[in-house]
Amino acid sequence: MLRRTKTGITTVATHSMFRILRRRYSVTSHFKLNDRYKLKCGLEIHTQLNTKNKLFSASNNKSSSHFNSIPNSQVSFFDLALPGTQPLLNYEPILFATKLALSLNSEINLNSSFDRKHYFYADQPQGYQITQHYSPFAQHGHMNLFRDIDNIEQEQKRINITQLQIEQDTGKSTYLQDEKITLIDLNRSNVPLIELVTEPDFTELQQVKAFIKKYQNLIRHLHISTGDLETGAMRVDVNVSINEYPRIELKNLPNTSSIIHAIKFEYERQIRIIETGGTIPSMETRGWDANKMETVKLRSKEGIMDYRYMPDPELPNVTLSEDIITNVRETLPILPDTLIHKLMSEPFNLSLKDAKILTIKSNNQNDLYDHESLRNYYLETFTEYKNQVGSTINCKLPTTWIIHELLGDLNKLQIPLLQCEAILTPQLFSEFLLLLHKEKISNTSGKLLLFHILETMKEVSYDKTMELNLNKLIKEFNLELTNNDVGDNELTEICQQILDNLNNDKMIQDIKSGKKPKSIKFIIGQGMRLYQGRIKPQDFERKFKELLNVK
Amino acid sequence: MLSPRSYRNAYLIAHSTVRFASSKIGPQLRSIGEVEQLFSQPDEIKTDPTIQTPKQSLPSEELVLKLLKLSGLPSKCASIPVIQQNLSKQLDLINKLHTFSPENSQDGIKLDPNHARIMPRSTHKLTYKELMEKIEYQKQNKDPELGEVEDGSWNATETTSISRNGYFVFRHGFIHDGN
Repeated sequence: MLRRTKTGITTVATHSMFRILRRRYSVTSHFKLNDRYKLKCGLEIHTQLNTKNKLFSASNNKSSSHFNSIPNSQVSFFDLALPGTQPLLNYEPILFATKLALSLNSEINLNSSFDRKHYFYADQPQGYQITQHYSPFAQHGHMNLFRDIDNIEQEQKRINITQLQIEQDTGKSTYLQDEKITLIDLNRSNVPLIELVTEPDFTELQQVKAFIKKYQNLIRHLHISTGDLETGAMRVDVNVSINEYPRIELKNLPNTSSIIHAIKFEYERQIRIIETGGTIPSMETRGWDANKMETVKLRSKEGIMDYRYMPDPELPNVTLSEDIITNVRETLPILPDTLIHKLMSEPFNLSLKDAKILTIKSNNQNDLYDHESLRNYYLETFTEYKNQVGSTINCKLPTTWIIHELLGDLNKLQIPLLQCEAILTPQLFSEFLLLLHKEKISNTSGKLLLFHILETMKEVSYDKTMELNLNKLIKEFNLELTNNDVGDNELTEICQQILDNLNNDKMIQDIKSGKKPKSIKFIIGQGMRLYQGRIKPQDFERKFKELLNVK
Repeated sequence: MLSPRSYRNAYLIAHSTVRFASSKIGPQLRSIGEVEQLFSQPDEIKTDPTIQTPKQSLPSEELVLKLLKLSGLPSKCASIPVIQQNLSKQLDLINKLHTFSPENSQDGIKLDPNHARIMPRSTHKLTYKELMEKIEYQKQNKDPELGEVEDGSWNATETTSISRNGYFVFRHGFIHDGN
């Protein structure tokens, strides 16, 4: 299509050129690292702690959980920096930081201190942020990534953590450009943050992705943060460099997808600059434009602030005794990697996939359950079941029936696990597993029974007094396996009748000739349906094969 | 993280006014009583007469403009000569303070730069039990006189001249246009 410019020149070529350039300069879908240019990334992660109160005042810390709450409704005089107010350290963030530091194998500084970082911004009413510049809370930590658990290329990758520091969050700004004003909400002001800084140890995108996911799961596992990127409870900045060229800092990356796309774009952009004889500027900060899918310059070296760090004269040092480390270490939950290995070992023998379902919060989970409550339900049920069957335990039963069947039903019926477990307790679920274990009911009957129980509890609005007698239900619906009652002759008659009613000679011939051996499953299914699972599928299969003379 | 250089940078102005002479500024004050006694004396004897520091020349206009910018203050209508005079006096005082060397204090005690705070220098080491007790106490104790209310019921924007739907309003250009 021809277009006219002010000069009257047709711009077909210009547009084509523009499209080519856009394609060249946007993130390619087939991204590949270039052997000649080593990617090097470091991360800076800000984590909002979900303490009851804010960092230096006793106002409610509801910023992350109630991010839509009324503006400036959760602020104290100190959070607004009203003259005369002074900070008073809240010690809950110290406890949370200790938990995180220990989980990240860091050395805790038993005499850390707070400093002022000065800059002027409308959502920073103090004119400075209280942070830990000179003497941070913890240093020299690390997190290990593994190929099997974290889906990285290498067998194992150690990411070193430079430091963890405690600091205040700022308020939130909403820019109204047309009116030339900014609306300021200080609910987030003075919310406790931990800033984690890694060494530039990341050499592949998958490592960055894995670290973010693992760190996010860790802070949720420790119950110190919601870890949600969407609400800003966790915010990630990335330093990207190639070979030994200066690093570029990337900010304003709202989710994992933006982070990965921004690194890809930046890597390719920096290579283009080098290959065209350009210079990578030192100390440049760039943001991510999600619409254009490209990084944009925010500020250069010239715009770097002089923060005029100084020790905060209103806050004493945080001096901790050694016993805090010992005691907090003892109260830490089993950490996710250890937990996964534990679940994959005796007596649970879970697959890696199932162990991860019970250990890692996934984006597929919804409000119906979380991995932790599911894990607790599984472990309690497993213990009850094991106590009843002893050495004859079939470890696949709890896995199949809780992780797969129960979860599927809860999703189908939209029942929260919390409501379910109040009625179908781990004790009762283990009794249900016992029925399957002793082959009192078939799998098919078990599925029917479980679904019926869940459906009923929803109908009675999760009334905890709901009667739940498994044996009574089995009798009521005639679900008990009839194999013991059905003799071989009777089973032959039943199966022959099914084959007659099938009226499908071609299928029979295909099974007999071995052309379509799997069609026998269909015939077994007919029998299961007819007898509602009261005859075991294995018995049907044996008898059908006998009648059709196939092995 | 604590390099001597970065620590010194905490004192912005000190870059150009670091110690000119080493001397002491009088005996160390050991109690609030001694501080009160010192300040009850007439001004002229507060300074140790043995301190000799060069007279501070007027800071340059460029430095004043830089400080105004760093402080977020407008420079357009500012009286630069007055600020230069005032700043010069402050620099004189800072020069005198810089003559005191923590390493060579009169008692021969080497001081920890981490102690450059108003707060107590040697704080009690918190035990685990104390930490947990403090957390529990802090969770349950708010001070409504400091605006720390459980239900967030006080109106934070009530006394502002401009607000909108509970938000504070910041007018663009307040800082940058003034410079």
